[in-house]
Formats: sequence, C-alpha cells, structure tokens
Amino acid sequence: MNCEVCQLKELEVEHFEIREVLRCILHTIVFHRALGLVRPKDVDLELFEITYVQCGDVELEKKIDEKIDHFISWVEKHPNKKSQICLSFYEVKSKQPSWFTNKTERLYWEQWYVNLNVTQHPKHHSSKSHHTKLIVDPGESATEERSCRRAMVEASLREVLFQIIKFVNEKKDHVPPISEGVIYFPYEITIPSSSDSAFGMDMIKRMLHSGHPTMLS
Amino acid sequence: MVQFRECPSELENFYLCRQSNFEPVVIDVILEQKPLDWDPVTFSPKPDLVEHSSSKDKNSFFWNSDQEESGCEAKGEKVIERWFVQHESRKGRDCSSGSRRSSSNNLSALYKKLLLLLRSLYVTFRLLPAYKIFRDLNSSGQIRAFKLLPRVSSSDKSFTQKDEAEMQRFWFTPVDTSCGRLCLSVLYRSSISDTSSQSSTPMSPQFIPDYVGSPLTDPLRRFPSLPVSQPIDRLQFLSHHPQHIQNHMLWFLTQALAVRAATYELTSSSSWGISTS
Repeated sequence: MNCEVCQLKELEVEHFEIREVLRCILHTIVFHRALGLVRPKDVDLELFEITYVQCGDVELEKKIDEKIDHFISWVEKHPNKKSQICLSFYEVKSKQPSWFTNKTERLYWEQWYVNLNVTQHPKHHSSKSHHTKLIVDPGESATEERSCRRAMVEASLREVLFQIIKFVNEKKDHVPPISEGVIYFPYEITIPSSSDSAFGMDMIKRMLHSGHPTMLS
Repeated sequence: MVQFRECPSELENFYLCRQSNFEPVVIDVILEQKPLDWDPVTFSPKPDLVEHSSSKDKNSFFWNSDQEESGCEAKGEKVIERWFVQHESRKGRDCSSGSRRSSSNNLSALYKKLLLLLRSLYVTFRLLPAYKIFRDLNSSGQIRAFKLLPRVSSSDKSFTQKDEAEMQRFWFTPVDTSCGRLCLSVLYRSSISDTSSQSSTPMSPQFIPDYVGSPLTDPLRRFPSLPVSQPIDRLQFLSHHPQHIQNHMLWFLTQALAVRAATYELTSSSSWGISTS
C-alpha cells in the first residue's frame, strides 16, 4: 500500500505557544481525515488571529490534549531541541498469527510530521549603547520585538495550514474507502519518548509495518 | 435561524438563466462601504465623513474613486474574494459508459474526493482575510462603516493591475468526474485595510418593533445547512444517474459558497441596526 508522507514546514515556537500550535495543526489534519458524520466546531486561537476547525468530538479532543501534554513534558526535559510529532493513519489488517507476530497488523497509509523548534524566550540584556533608552522606556522595544515575532509565527502557522490543505487536495487516491458508520480512520500520534533511541525504534517499527522506508523530504 | 434576502433568489435566478451546466460560476464577496450621507443613528448627513471623502490621502478606506479605471466595481466596493467553480466537460466520452459495478465504485471514489474537497473548503474559508471581517461585524456592537455582500455571476470580470497585485490565488485540485472535472479556485486579497479602525457608531439602544422573526414580519425562511454539519444520505446521493452528478456538485459547492457569502452579508446587516434572531 502506498504510504503518503507530508513533512510540514518547521515552526519556531516558544514554550507557551506549543499547546495552541499543536492543537491547531493536529485538529486540522484530523478534520480532513474524519470523513464520517461530524459536527464541525470553530476554535479561535488565543495567541494568534487564526480560527481552526475541530471535529466536535470531546474524546478526540481529550486524546490529542493528552499527547500534547506528554510532548510538553518531553520538551521540558529536552530544552532547545528540534522535535517532531508524527500523526499516522493506518488500516488494520488481519494476518496469519505466529509465535512472534500478532494477528493483526497496521498498514500505514499516511504520515504527517509536525516539526517544531522550541526556543527559549531570549532574555533582554540591557546593552550599554541602549542603556539610556531602556531607562526612559524599557518595555517598548521588547513589546515591538515580541509582536513582530508573534506576527511571524502566525504567518508561519498559516503557511503550515495551507500546506495541509494543499496536501489533502493533491493526494486523494491513497485514502481508503469510507466505511459506513465510521467517523475517523484509525490514527496514532507519536511523540519523542524520554530517550531518543526509543523514538527511533518507533520509526523503525512503522517502517517495517508500512513495508518501505519512510520518505523524508 | 437566518433570513436570507437577495442572495438565495439571486442564486436561483442565476441557475434559471444558465445556458449550460458547464458555464463557470463566479461568486464574489464584496466589501462595501456604506453611503457617505447616511447616519444610521440620526438618519442625517454626516458632514465629517463628507469632509474626509474629499481627501483621498487621509483615509485609504475610500476606494474606487476612479470608477472608470476599475471598470468592474461600483463606487465604495471592493472584491475581497472571488470564487470560481466550473465543471469542465471531457469531450468525446460517454458519461454513462461502463458497467454498473464500476459506476458504483467510481461514485464512491467521487463521493470521497468531494468530501475531502468540502473539508478543505471549510477550513480554507476560515483562513482567508474576509473571515476576520465577518467575525468583526458579527461580534462588535458597533455600527460599522462597511458591510459584506455576495454577488453571483457567470463571468470573470478582470481586476485592475493594482488590485491583481494585491491578490493571491489558491487552486483546489480538480476532482475528476465521469464527464469531466470539477474545478475550484479562489482569488483573495492577502491583506485588507484595517476595517476595525474605521469610524463606527455604537448601536443606540432603540427598540426595533419590526425585527426579523417578530409577529409583525413574515416568518423566517428556512435555509439548507451546509452539508458537512448535517447527515448526508449517501445512498440517495450515489443513486443519482452519473450525468446528473455534476449538476448536484455544482449546486452543492455554489450553495456552500453562496451561503457563506450571504451569511457574511446578513451579519454585516446586523451591524447596521437590523436585528436578527
């Protein structure tokens, strides 16, 4: 089976922005893959002027938030590191059971990689040349810098959302047929675990299930 | 409940007058500046606005003073989104050819692709700049100096070079049908002048006796909801003859776009002091 992979543009975010950014991206992807009956719910981001769409499913929201919590915990233990969250969609296929393998296997047909670079907010060091200015108005340049940075993150997030829309439109043939009564395709969200090697093992497992190397663009 | 005014009849008339299902459908979302000489509170001329209008530099919100140059927009109007929907026919192919089974498989695949298209359309609506204006009009208790209007036509009136430079295009991947392909794209202004800073008047706390839905007015008309929020009877959808699918697809998409545009228009009417329920 053809497994389509989408590497989303890397976003540079600060710690307090992670939750909103991830919710926006993950829910947008899942909304495009929930082809059963859904009640779309508009959600306004608090930090950015972006509205995204959720499926209106409380359970789904809970599962995604749990994963985001785990990711935030991982980030706190691994500061200033680039990280990747993988949202995969798969089909469950039954196969011949054996001593070493399960009766069912997962055939991944789509993988989304959300790339984040979580940065620490730079502390404002008062340089000698700007010392006088800071005394007069210490907050102004910091506020301007912050709002400029915020605008850049918002623009990047919008780009990522359009990237998702573009991918969904361009690649449709690999999406499995819609089953009656099924709202979501089975999915899993993989975050880096406490050790990087374990994350690598997850990737290798997925490659073995999907039958070919994961394409990294 | 939402009451439509001119948009649904405009859309119905549009369909009646269409010569062919293969004509494009062009839906414009227009940002219209309210007349300069209208004060919704006192219903009297507003001298300060008239004064500002003579100075083009002071207020960049006053567009299209060169009506001859644009050629397609009335004074005080700006097209902020233009949607193109068209079913391109595939010549020399019989739409009804193929076995019943392959036809059923094709319909399932077509349904899936249309659903994916609708999903991405739903998300895209909310990312375009017009949505922010819609929200501002919806949430603000102020009477705004502008409103949003829909316009449906079958011709693509060209923009000025200046306007085109301000616009971006997004193409949705065409969806193949048995008779051709369904094409959808949008031309939109990537940035719109900050309408929130425009002059606005707080709504006066007047009692409006003939509000929509009151016993004094006609009952509200129901309108069809957007398909993604309502159960879709797929069997009924799929049982249609393939040759009629394109009619329904076009109707489907244009309804979705027109409903959105009309909802924008109705919301902007609310900010003009017309109550809705």
